[in-house]
Amino acid sequence: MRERITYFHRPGAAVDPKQLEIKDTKVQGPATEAVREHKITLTLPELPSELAGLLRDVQDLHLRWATSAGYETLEPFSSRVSPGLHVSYTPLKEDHDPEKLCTALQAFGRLDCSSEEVYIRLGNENQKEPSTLFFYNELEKLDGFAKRLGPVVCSGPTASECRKQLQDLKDAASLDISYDSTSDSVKVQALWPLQQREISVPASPKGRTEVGILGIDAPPNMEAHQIGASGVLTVIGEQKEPSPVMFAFEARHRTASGSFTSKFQQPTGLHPALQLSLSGAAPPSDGEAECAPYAYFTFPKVIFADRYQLADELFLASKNLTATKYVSEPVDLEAPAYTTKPWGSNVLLELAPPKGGAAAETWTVEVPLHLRYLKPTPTGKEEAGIPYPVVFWACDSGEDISYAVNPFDRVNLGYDGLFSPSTKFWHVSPKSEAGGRLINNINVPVVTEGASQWVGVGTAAAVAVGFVWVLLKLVGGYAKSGHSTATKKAGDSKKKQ
Amino acid sequence: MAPSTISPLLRPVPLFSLAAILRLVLLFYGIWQDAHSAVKYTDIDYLVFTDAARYVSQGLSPYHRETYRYTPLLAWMLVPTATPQLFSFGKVVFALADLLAGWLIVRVLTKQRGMSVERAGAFAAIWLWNPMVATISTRGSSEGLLGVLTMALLWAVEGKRIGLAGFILGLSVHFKIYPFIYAPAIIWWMDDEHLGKRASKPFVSATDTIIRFLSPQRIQLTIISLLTFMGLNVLMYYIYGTPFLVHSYFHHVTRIDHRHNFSPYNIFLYLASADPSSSSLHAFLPQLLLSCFLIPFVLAKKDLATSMMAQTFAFVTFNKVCTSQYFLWYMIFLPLYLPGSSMLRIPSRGITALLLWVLGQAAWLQQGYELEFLGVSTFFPGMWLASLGFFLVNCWILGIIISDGAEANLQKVHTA
Repeated sequence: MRERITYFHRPGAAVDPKQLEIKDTKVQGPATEAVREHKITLTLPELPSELAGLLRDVQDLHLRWATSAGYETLEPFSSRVSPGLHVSYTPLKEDHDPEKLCTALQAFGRLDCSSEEVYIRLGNENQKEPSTLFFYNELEKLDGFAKRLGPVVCSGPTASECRKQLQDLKDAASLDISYDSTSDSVKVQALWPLQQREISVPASPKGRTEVGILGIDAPPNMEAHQIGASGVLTVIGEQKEPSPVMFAFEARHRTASGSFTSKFQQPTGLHPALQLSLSGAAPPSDGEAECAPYAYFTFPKVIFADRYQLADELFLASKNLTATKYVSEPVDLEAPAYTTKPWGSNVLLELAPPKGGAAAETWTVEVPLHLRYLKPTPTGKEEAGIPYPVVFWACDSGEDISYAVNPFDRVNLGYDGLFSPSTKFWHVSPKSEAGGRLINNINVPVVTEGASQWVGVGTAAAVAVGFVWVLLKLVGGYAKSGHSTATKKAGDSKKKQ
Repeated sequence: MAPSTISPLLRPVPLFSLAAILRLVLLFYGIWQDAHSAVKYTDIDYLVFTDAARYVSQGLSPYHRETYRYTPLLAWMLVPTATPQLFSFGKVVFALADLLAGWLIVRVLTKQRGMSVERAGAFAAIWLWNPMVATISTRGSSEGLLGVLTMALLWAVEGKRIGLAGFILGLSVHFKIYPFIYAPAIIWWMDDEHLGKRASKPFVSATDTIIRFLSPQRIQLTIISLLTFMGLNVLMYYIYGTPFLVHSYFHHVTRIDHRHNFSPYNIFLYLASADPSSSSLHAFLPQLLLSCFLIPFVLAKKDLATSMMAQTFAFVTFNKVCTSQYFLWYMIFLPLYLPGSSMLRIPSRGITALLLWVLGQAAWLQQGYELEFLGVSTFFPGMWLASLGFFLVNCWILGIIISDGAEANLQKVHTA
């Protein structure tokens, strides 16, 4: 087990290394405005045997969670995913049962994941290899996860300290859990947003604990388009003095200028339009690379985009969209939510920025969507929350860039798999509307529950009245003239042709 | 009945020229609007057909296209649309089908009913110059094809072209299922008298009746229509396999029809679909009783066209799902039904029927607008009551059509 805790502060808010208190059991320091990342690397034998057994059945497993609260961050922690829990994994065998994994995932809360039909298969045309399965579930907070995990992972004399650390997850902005059978290790990465925080790191009870206090800098040997960092590193229990460091690296995820908001146009109806407003979002200057803005959506099954509607160029252009790059499959275009098995869908749209690239300008794009019918409720309304999309400029220089050298690199976020590996993502920061959440709520009209007692009887009565009326007319007609041609004369007149 | 100023327009050449010009104008207008506006003139369904046709042209199954729920024949027919320059080919076919249906209407009215050309033209204009019909076909909806098929069926039957009638019947049922309701009407109609044979002796025994009922013509029609229907199905199944059966046929039995539409069952079905324990198959009963048995039994022998009109009207009115495109299915029969109808004889009745029919739809559409565009939960009671109201209006109109059909021959006797 290895732990790495990094404090990344604002430029100019560096902590004087002399103020750091480095002891055998912990590192303590003054408060500063910083992002905090906690990374834990575990080997399979270090995991509870059930979890290890679960992971031995898969090639890889990636959990990505992001908070629904708006948060601030710093480069190089620029990457974003839509609020909620994103799970993707590749089973070793084609005929596997997701039930086991799903049971383990219940640690996060009640997730609908036990049926294989809930998952969507990610683009793997090669039928011989098992394809990667993906599913998403709304999950706003990690409180329940922290609580349920405590008894499982915290034991021994450090149990209370361990529980305290788990409680910190309540304030985390994101959490990643990654397993890859080739490395045979599990990486857990949590990120806390930029805010005033004390430096305080206890030693890991079982392994090495590395602490870094870093900030953006410009090392002399740094190349253009790299990120430079400097600060101090120390390993608890091994060093008494912090060691100064300075390094530069290529980052896959960068922060672009400007911000965006997302909201539904009112009234929403059954075909709502999601409006993204970008302000001050100028294209990044990324050398020779070609950049274009994109929005990557995670739509729970209550709402969906119609790939056929989003195919017409004129229509797209009228919404300030350039192209529909990806729509996950399958997406039923008619079924109500309660008969739709897949969790929902992912959509990648290329946005059309204003011509001339005026930076300060605010521009909007509109995404036409459709609601599914939902089950009856007592009020005739059902509220649904649609997570904010991820909005970024994707720049591809076509050169082979080794992003993996970056100690803070992040992959398997869904959208990164839809671009070439050399693509750089410049993220536009989401800004929440009122309420501070990165979730767009929408009211879905449904039939009121109370209707059923009237509708059954009333419909039957109306159909009966209509049917009997028509029947009476038929009987009347039959009584008057029977069922055959009334008279010979009529028959004759017919034959005049 | 037509004022003298427009009666020269009702001669065949101007009648069809105007109908063709109307469609050409709409066709080109549609091409222009599609090219210049984000709001498309072309129907969504047309994009489904043409996508399917593109798959077919690449040697693939048309069922690769989601929501393609039609016979592969339609996709085959539209294969030229796979060439971008010929995108509108299908709309031209649908518009030509409209004109052909109009021509058949004129033929039936003049040759089989002995009507003057201008008078027949006036009634055919209800179909040919109908902006709703012209718009639906030029927007690329295939419902117009059903118009030509059902009118050709009636024309063939009344012209005693039994083999052809059987083929058209089989083909149309393969195309859209619902024309199977015409089979009992046609079979019932095909007695000696209608086929121009002298009725020999009055029936004596029950066996005699049955034997005489099973006339060679009836057997011929049954066999040819079944062979056509099954032949096409076997062929399509052979080529496209289970997806053909699933999308063209099974879908219509298993669909849950929860989305709002004109059907009186709509809200009931929405509620039922959310409750897995319920079944709603019994909704087929009144619909099939009326459109397959009772109406043809009373009306077919007296006036086959009015019987088919009433059967279609009953089928659409009592259907589990009902959208305005379905209205086209019975509108094709209007030119044949109206000449002898009480709606024309007693104008106040006809006007009341038309007004109620329009108002019933308008009331429903208003509720639909509030739901669809404003997000107001109008399912209950507004939309539910509107759909029941429209249903009852339709039943009242159906009652008039049936009474007219039942008295059709009496009328002819009086006016002869």
